[in-house]
Amino acid sequence: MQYMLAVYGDERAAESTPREQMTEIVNAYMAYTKALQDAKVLVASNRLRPTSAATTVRTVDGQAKVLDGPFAETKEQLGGFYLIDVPDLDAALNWAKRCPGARYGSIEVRPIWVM
Amino acid sequence: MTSTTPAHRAAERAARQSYGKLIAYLAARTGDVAAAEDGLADAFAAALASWPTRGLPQAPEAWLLAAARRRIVDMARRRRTREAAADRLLLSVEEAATEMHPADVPDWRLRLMFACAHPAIEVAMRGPLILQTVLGLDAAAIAAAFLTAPKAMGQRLVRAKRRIRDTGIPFRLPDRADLPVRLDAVLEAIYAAFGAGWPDPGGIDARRQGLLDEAVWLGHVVVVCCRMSRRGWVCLL
Repeated sequence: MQYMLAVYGDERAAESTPREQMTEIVNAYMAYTKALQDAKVLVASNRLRPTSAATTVRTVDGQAKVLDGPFAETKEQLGGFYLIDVPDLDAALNWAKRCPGARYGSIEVRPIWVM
Repeated sequence: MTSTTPAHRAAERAARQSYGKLIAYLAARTGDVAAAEDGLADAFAAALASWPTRGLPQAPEAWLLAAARRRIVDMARRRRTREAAADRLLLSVEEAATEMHPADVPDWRLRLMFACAHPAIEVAMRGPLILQTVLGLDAAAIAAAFLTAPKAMGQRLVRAKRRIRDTGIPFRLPDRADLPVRLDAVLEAIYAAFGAGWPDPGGIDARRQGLLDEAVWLGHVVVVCCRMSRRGWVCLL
């Protein structure tokens, strides 16, 4: 089964993180990504630019409206994702627990709906 | 009225003794508890129609399993055009059909209990789920024990079963590292069922009295499975 590990965290806190600690976090993510690759479970992954770079589109009365900013203001924001292919939820949860993002925010684990 | 015929008695006995075992085995193959329940319900109905005229099968449990499996395959086929996931269901059911020996239904009730008491299932629903899937209690009886409205309990059970299927909760014994926490969750759920059967001072509600015995029996199943594993939990996997 494929699962998306959605990495949520406080963007503002991340902005004020000292450079040294940031390097540490980036290294941790690189090691984590390599571990996923080595285990042959990684399908895709990417980091997202902060919500300050987000633009939202919504159709209202048949008219597409473009709004600056994210679709909702939240305490923690989606900062990136890992798409993994593992046998079951327990395996997905074990990978989520190892994700560096779990230390600074939350990882939402969602199964992919196969269409 | 009809419960006195041998076929009915045999069906009732099979229902009591085998229900949880058959649900556990069927659900473990597909991840779909609701489909397993529907399939087995139809199998019991078929047994009541067939056994009085054709006589009891040699292995009632295997007969019921085969009938339930056929029904699940039928239902999956019908859903096929709507849901691609049915293919997976169909495949695993057919796989199970080829490797099964008659009269040889493995006892996976503990796996079922671990799925029901999974951390991804809300705590309050773990006991009710176990009562329904392992023992076959209906939502009304469970609602009475847990002092909730039958309709609400029914809906929550349906949602919890859908969640087991959609999130991919596994029907297997947890890894050694997770075992203590996961076993606690199972025992807590059983204890909740036990507690729900308890506060009936007058002993008026027979269903609640029955629940006490059932909860004790569930605890017994866990103890037996764990004792088996003393040599190494791995042997159960």
